[in-house]
Amino acid sequence: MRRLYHPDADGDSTWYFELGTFTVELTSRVDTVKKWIPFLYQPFRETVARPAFIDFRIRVERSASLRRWVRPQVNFYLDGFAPFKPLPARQAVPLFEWGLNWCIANQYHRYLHFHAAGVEKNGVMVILPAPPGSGKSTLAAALMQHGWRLFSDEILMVEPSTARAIPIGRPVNLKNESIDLLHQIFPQAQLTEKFYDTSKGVVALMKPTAETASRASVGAMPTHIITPRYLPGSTLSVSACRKPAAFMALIGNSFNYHIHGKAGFDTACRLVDRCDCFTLEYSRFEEVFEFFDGLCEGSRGG
Amino acid sequence: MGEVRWCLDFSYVEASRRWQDGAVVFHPLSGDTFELNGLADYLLCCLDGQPPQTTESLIVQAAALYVEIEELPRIVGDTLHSLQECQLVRAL
Amino acid sequence: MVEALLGNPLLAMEYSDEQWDRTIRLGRSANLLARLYQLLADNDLLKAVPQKAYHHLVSASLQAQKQRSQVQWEVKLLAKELQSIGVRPILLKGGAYIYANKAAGQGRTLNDIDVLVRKEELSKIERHLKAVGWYSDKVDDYDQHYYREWTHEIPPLIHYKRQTVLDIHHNIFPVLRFRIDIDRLMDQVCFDADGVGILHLYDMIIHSATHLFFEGEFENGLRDLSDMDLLFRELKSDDWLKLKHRAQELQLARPLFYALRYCRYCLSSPIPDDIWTAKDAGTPNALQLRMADILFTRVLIPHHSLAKQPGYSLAKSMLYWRGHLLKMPVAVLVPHLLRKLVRSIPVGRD
Repeated sequence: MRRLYHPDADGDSTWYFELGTFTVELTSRVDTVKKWIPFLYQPFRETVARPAFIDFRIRVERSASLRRWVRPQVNFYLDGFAPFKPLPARQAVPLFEWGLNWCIANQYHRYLHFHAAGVEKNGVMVILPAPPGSGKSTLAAALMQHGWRLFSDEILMVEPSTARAIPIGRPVNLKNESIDLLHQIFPQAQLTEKFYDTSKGVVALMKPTAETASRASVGAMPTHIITPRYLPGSTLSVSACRKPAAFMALIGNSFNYHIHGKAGFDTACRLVDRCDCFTLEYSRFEEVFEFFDGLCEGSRGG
Repeated sequence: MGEVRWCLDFSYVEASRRWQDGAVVFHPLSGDTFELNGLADYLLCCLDGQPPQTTESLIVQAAALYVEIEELPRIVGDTLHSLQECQLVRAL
Repeated sequence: MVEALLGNPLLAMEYSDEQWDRTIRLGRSANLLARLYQLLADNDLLKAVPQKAYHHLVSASLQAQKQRSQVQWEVKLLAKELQSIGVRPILLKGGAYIYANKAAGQGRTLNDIDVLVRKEELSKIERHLKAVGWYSDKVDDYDQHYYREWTHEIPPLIHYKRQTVLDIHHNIFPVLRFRIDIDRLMDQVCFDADGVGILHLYDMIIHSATHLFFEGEFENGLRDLSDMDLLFRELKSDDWLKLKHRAQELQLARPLFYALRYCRYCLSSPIPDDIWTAKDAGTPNALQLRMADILFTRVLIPHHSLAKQPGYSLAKSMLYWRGHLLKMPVAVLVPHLLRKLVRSIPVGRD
């Protein structure tokens, strides 16, 4: 991943990101964007020239209506097209992150996209599929701080022909209590300010670790599919998941399985075939780390 | 349902994957994917190649399953119905 | 840029990365990316496309493929459903191109499946489909009334499970201003074994032209033009005059005239010079033609800031009003638009 920054004459700033396979252009003059985008994408290597081909050309800008003085709003544009309703101006940074997710999930079908997090360490690559609210972002962020490489906290991409997972290593989207919780456990973690009153509650973004950013173009073969569930006060409990159930859960959490047709079915079959499938209930990170590190040791032993 | 005839058209089931604990089927025409229960999977297997002509003969074929014998017609009926809903079998 | 490539795919070999960047942007905004993919694939030119652009073309093509199989499946189910009440549906536009396996169906995307039926069968069809899982989300009485009274279709039906949208028409154009003799169209329809009908190729072209040049919306104008370009390419040399006569017979020569003119102008379609003379019915006079050129060439483009010329917005709104005036008499149009305007004003919001 590379980045390039251009201050334009008219007050806009433009950044170019090379996110593994994607080239993204972001133009904005919104203060919070100017403040936090360079921070969040700082771990990635810089680029020198303006890229000739851009996959997603994004603008985040204030709505040009009278409202800008009363209750300012921001719009997200993908190449001039606004797929969403405007949001309050203070949410410009999360809007960019969510919007970019939308672009990838809706317009780019080179890969199968699963609504899942993905982490990797020593060749052990775990897919964490789960619906929103199951704590997968929190878990992914914690594992990243614990030394695992983050593939994504939101969209796990898998190449159809090979069933190989492809990283995008973006900032992690943290919500509500998990923000303070993670900051407490990992004081070294670098987070943005909190963005209040979003549709997902309070949101903050976590900067990817150097390990995640530096190897953002290195894929891995998935080895485990683990459906996490945060259950307050519980001790860690792992149970094997029936393969057909794991399969249905995986495709049920896909953004573009239906678009890939038979190739999507075959890829999902290969994933479920080669992966060990579990469900995981947890409440304490120490237990989770012990379990995940155990997966690594198991694989080295075998 | 004695005279109902069932036809199993395996062109509908171009893609399927069977694990020890169940099976999934991709239906290419609609693009839908279904998880099959054990009985449905068994029926698809035992019907492969030899479509029985009546529900009775189907029940005979399915009798090898460890289901209470008096329950069988109902369960087979229900299962066939759900298979029909996924367009995996058609009634003639 | 997209137009040039559609007219001459060989240009793909010379495009730079910057040109591909623009082509993908323009192609996406015109809903033509999947068609471009198909055209390049047919000419064995995909290998000339840089990787990054290629993945965007593939993405669009996968989406179109998905729609293609969806249309084929949906039409099968629909035909079976209608067969039970003795109705044979006729497919129109995108759905027809796909179902009939036309080149114009390759890489074609659509929002709904358009079907033509006889007016007297309409209520029976609507009743039956509503009993088997289709519903209409236009619940407003005025909407319902507007559709039934002034358009050539009933409110769209949506399937509760598959979310497919079905537009059922009883004519190919609003009933009021032009009394198109629908029986003459129906006479030429060819039905297959499943009871699905397709318009004759001439009528397919004339319908597409009528739809594009008499309606007021041009969001997919270039895409529709490309459809017609591909349909024109199916014609043999002795077809052209027959096509013209057919349009004259249906009193739809003017839209066909425009279709031929702008397909040639925008997409370099291989159309013979001598099919139309100034004396022919349907030929616009010199002033009309200049006006048409100014307006249509400004809207038959990808609707993207890279392609818009000065005068685009004015041309677009003039054609919008023209479309409305062609559809309805002023005495009907004005109250309708007023009502639309009043309803578009948000109530109770900040």
